[in-house]
Amino acid sequence: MNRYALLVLTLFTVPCAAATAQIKGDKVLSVRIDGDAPEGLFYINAALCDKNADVQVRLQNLGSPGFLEVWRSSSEENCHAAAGRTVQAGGKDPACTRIGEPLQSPGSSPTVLLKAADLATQNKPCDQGGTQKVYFVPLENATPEGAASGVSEGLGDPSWVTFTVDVIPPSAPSNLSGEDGENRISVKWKGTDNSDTADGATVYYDPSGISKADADCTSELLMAKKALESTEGLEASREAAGTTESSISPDSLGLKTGEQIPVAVVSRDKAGNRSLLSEVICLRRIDTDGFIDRYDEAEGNGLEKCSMQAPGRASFSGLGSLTFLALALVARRRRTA
Amino acid sequence: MRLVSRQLALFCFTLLSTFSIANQSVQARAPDTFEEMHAVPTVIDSPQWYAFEFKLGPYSPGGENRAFKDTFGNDRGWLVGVEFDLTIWHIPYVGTINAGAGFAWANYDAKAFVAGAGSTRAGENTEFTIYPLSALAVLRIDALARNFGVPILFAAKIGYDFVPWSAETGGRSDANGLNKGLRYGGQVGLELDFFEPDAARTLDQEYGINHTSLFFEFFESKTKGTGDRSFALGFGAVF
Repeated sequence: MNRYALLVLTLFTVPCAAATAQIKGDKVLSVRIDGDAPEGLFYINAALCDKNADVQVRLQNLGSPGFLEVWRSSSEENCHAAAGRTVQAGGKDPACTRIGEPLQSPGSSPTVLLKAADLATQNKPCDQGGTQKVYFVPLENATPEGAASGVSEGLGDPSWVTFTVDVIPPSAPSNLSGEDGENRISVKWKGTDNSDTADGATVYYDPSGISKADADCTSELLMAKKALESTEGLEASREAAGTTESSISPDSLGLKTGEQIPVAVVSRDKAGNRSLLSEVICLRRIDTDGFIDRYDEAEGNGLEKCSMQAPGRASFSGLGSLTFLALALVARRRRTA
Repeated sequence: MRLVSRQLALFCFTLLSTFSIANQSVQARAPDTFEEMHAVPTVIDSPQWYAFEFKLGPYSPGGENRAFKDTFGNDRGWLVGVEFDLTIWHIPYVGTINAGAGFAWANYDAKAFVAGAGSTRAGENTEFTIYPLSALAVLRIDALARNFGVPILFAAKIGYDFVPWSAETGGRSDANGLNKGLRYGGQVGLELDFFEPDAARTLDQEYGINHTSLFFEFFESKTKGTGDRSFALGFGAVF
């Protein structure tokens, strides 16, 4: 069955964000994965593999080829030259594999629809990582089985797109600890050791698990979402890569003094994979004394407080007036000197 | 008689002309001695009417304030400040009298206390920030540098401090206010011109910066709650 069930003949070249670093050749205009136009590397992560997401590649300037073939290889050398592109009937896949059947009369600017499973691995879908290069080869005639494909004269070398397959989730954050407070509550954690692929962490708070401070810290929602398929009902705070601490205002969570809220953390990697939830801890809102509270208790009225929001406004105007007067006097002296 | 008068007048005229021409020749003649040919040219500075200082030093508001020490411990800031002076009077062979305005900033932070739990600390931070503004009368003495080639400068300052301050805990403002009080201090500086006289000359000719210096300043702010006796190190320029 022809895998190219959906083919859009594009007449208008709508500018799309294309990660040119992952595209070679002038035939590829843009790439969209699951409807999104990625910036940077084209990642195929576990979630995309699991739902066999759509991968759309928009091409341009093909001329008028009779056929368009799509080939895949983990190595740049395997599919680039025509000699490497051999269609074999049955048996083990070679290093360079054709994806689906050739598309007849694709036109000058077709959109090729692939599936994530086409890119994840050579043998089994979504069980391996690594880099896959997908080549787009315009031909005059389709390549028969057992023969090497050729490049239609005048259409140049094939263009290709590099996809990075990463279906391995990062490790969950560990060693969670919390800092209670009145206006800010904080959670700290130990992140993943793989700094090359880490993209940060997301902290999840469960408002439905708010309880009094002396109650046990439990969260049915966080425990149920161990694999975090859905974040519905949770408050989230995204932190950048390298960050191992996050703080939030208790007011934003509806937390009152004396109450505690469950919290857990999930690691993210650059491919978009998410780890399992970390252990669940509770953060409490407590009364605190700041410097001014202790100062008032100890010293009384040493610091002169303002009732206005912006302190020192009168002093600023007084100083400004003195400064202006001094400048005017000096300017007058200089003129008369 | 008339002839004698005419001759006398002519003689006097000739004598006067000779003197005036001779004098003009003396003023206009080219240097004809070794000393005149190799004398150091007279240096004329650009006008000097302003001074600018940038300074940095430790500062602990409130001096022996117990609450401050209990909360922030040995946190001394640092206090970062600038000062701009306007010369009002040049005192010949002494220096200048200036009107100055200063602005500084210092921030102190520590963990807040758990209410009702003594010295037990909570997770959120408490902060105290001061913004001292100073109105000063400044006496700058550069007599040693200008008249004797000794690159040492002195300054005496007296004025008034206006210190707006703010306190917050966990990112939320607790209070703010304004404290006022007397300020005075003294300064000793090392003029940098003598290290690179040519560079100093160029700085004056190109940008009008007459002199630059490094200084040590001792000062005291008598504002209650935000005052301290401390010192600062800094860089100054007059232009």
